[in-house]
Amino acid sequence: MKIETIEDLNKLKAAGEKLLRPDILRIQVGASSSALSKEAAQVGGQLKKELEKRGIEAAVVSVGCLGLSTQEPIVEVIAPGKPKITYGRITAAVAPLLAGAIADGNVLKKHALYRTDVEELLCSTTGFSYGMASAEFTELPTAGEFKFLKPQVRIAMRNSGQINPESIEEYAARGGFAALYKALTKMTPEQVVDTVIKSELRGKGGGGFPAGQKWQSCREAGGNDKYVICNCSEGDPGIGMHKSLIESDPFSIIEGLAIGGYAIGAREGYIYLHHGYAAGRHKLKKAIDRAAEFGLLGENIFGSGFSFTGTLKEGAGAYVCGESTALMACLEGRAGEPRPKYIHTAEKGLWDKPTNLNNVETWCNIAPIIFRGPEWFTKIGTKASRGTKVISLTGNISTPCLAEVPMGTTLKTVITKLGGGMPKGTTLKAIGIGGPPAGALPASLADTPIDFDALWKAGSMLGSGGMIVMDTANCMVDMTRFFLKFLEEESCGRCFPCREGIKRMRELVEGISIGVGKPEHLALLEELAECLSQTALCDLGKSAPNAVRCALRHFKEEFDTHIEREVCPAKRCAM
Amino acid sequence: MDTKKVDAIIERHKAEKGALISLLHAIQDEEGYLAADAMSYLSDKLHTPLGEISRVATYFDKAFKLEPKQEHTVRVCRGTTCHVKKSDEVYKEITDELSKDGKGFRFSLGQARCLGCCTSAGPVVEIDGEVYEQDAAKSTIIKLKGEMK
Repeated sequence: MKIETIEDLNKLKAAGEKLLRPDILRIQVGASSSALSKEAAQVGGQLKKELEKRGIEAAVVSVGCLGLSTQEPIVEVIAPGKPKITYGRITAAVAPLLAGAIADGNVLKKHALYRTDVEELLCSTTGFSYGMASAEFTELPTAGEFKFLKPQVRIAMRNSGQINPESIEEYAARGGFAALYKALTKMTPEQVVDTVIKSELRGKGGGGFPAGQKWQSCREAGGNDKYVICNCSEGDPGIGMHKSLIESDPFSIIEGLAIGGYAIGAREGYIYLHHGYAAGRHKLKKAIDRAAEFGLLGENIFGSGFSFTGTLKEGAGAYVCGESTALMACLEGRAGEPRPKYIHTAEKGLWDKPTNLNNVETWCNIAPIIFRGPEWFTKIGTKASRGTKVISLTGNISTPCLAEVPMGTTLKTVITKLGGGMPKGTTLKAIGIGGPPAGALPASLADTPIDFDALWKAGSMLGSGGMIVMDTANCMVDMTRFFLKFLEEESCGRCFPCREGIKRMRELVEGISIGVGKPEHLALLEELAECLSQTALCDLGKSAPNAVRCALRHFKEEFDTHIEREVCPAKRCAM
Repeated sequence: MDTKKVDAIIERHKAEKGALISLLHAIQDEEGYLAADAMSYLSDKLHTPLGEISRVATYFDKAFKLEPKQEHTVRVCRGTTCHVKKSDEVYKEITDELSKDGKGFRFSLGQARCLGCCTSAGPVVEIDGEVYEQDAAKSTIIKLKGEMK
């Protein structure tokens, strides 16, 4: 079936609604990587068997990741005319109990987390209403009241854990492709670019560059062959949010990319991910094939005259390949080294053609912005950083999770409300956000809002949003050594300041960590940091010294103790 | 490496623009590593200098292996989250375990940047493609050693 008109799209949507809310029971089992490690794969099959035993027919579906890793395996039960109930920790042993409760029309209270009566959809004017709550349901909090979801606003993660990621119908049922339809049939490319500019969306890859401006310069660049790229390769350690978006909602990336292609004037889109990431490749490939099958990729989409193809390409996964010119070299089959950027990739990028690159999270924001308009988007977040940020919260924390919060939410709110606070008996010492070059902020700055500029002012940076909580058992000299070791290994070696500078900084910090550091080494570190930030070729080298600067600004006394008394207070360094 | 296999791989990627990295991945997937003769043959077939090919193969030193793999591959995650949870100590413990009874050389032990399991209890270790938490990893290694003749 080719989708050419709005009627066709509505038919696809209706087919998806039938799948999402069928006349029989629908059971959704979370199938993210963290859920799978907890035997989620068996749970679905077992539930089906247990329900059949009781004479109940059910559609059991694998969905993406809801983000609440500690409650996995998560199971959602949608019974016709009743609120949707979300259950946590449904292991194979609990499955028969849940089946029993469903058969009796009850709620399995011990495992029930929250209920959903009605649901608003971002890319559709009509939401879902599941059914009114009767007495046994009202004891449960609604999704909006549930502690983990209350501080969140989900834009990029709007479909995560809600749909079967391989089903184009289910994606359409939640408003998928409505934004693409609107852009292609009701807006000029200029209007699309203008909408993104007015939304003040900033790229979520780390730099925070205004996405609309980037699109505009690429649109204005000459030539007929242009490219749009989605960077799906996470080089940053300590984060899994892109992985989760790719595996939970691949169509959202494709829709965003196609809208971007239309706006910029590109007919080809590349999705770049690293080799060996089988789950991601499988989901993305399937999504591209399905979209092409339905005519949502390919020639003359929606009869608008706009043609666009999506190509999946695998790189070889190096941290520096997150830098746009290095990533493009990789796509061309070359070693992933950055080049100087006096000529922007918007003018000469992939194969020397004008190219626009954004990361997964940015592309996932595009469809809702086009559908709802820029005014809706600018109401969320802070003045300098509009919208939301997907955060992956890990480290020494009670409940590690993935969440999407409005910009301006403080680090403390994320730790206490979403992460459930520190594990018993531990004390917060530092919060790393933004990967190795961002260093870590001290507990005293936990009130810093998540916002590109506020974090920059505090001496760190938002980066990709991987938040790592550290307790007092961690030593900041050791952490700094760790960050530098990472950056040293990932430096491509093309420019001298980065190749040698990071290495020397790591040697100095390592010296301090083993008790042979001297007071003058701190000044030397500062000098090297200044030199690197001014002379390195690309942003990896330029931002690397920030790890040292941030540590010396916030944890200088710890460096002093290592140097003067030759002890590591946290007993983490080998002295 | 059998040159026919390389020919088949080149044929499969014929339509792909800038396919060198994909070709190297395909060869490694089949053989487990990039053999010198496979790279020279590729160089002849593609009319690309061997230096250029080995440049790409060695640049991505975490992705491409130039030597054959051992029977089992163990990779300890050294991502930031696992470091916060003391993966350096786990690495040391595994090194000790492997050096015990003269079977350690049959394992390739390495470190992974980040295995992406940051929300698990961690630190995590990958053994032959499966991810384990530290205790399960150690017992798996002991089991694998026991199965060796």
